[in-house]
Amino acid sequence: MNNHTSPGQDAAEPSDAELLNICQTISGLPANGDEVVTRLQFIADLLADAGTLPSEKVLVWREPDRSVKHVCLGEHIVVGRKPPEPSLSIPDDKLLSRCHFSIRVVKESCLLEDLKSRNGTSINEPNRNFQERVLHDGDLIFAGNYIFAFFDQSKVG
Amino acid sequence: MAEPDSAQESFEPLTYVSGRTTLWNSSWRRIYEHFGYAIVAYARGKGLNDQSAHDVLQEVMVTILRCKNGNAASYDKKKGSFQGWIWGVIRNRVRSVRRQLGKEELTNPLPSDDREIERQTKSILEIAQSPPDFAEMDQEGWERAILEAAVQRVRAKAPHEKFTIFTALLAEKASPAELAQQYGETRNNIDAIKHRYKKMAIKEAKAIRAEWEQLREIKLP
Repeated sequence: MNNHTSPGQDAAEPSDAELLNICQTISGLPANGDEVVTRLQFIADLLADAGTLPSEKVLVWREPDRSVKHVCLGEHIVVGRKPPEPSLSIPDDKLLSRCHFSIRVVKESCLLEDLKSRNGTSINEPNRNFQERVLHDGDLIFAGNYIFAFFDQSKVG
Repeated sequence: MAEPDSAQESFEPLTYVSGRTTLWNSSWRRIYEHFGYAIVAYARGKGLNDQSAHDVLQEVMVTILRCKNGNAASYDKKKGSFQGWIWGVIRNRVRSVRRQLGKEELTNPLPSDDREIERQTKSILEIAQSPPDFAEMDQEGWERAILEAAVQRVRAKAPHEKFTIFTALLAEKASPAELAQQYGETRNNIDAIKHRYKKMAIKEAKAIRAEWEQLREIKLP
């Protein structure tokens, strides 16, 4: 590969060995490519309706009346129908457990933990339950009837 | 007039300067379609496993989606081109996920220059304030990722059997005559496959590179 090719110029023609190496290692497009686009569209719509969010780690979700709300995570938060403080309480969702899941900041990462909820907590796709997982910017959390988007707004460019 | 090659259409600046949701949707989808696989390939080239590479892609796309809302953590046109900004986002996300994973979970060891880069990694904020110069960055890694994305496109378009023949020809594990017999093709067809698919890969890579160049000129509001 030509190291000195400036962007915009054509790179050197790939050798057969290079092409072979790629053919043997490509993993294929994401199997769930359409789902990824759907998820990104959901996030785009959510962000469009959320307005400007604070520059920290937040959970964003849409209420049944279509309004968009957010909560800052701080160091630790519990989400459920009737969780202890510090918490996000959603008493009207009967599919949520009293203490459904928590998110804890561990070093630079946010760790989601399902609190032995009755209906489980899924990430990025329904019915794919996790007991514990490090969250990534833009992960969708499925719990009860709600979909929470996790955004690390402290991450810039 | 010949029909334009859809893979080489230019980005329309209007889609970027408009705040209309439908146009914004077509813009980010286009970025995803053109560079999604290259981003995954680049991350994998830096030692991340498939899952982590897709996490990087998600984080890059979400960062791009935030541009529209003028959130604090978004692109600032005063600090450089959109292309340079996206490049910085890709690099930062790869580094960030690598740090989270730890060395034991990487699929291959770091090249020595990357270890040096990691030691010298500026904070994300510093990089945002001082956008990277693409020409000075990992040109080789990105070029390889583009080529990988191009081959992936060829594979997606080619019949499975033909792509298998293409790979076998590259590997030189069997002669064209043997492959012709094995797959019930004419010798001429076998000879053409390697040339045709290699040409397709080069064309696709050129198209992705051209799209990437368009990002240099785009100015978001």
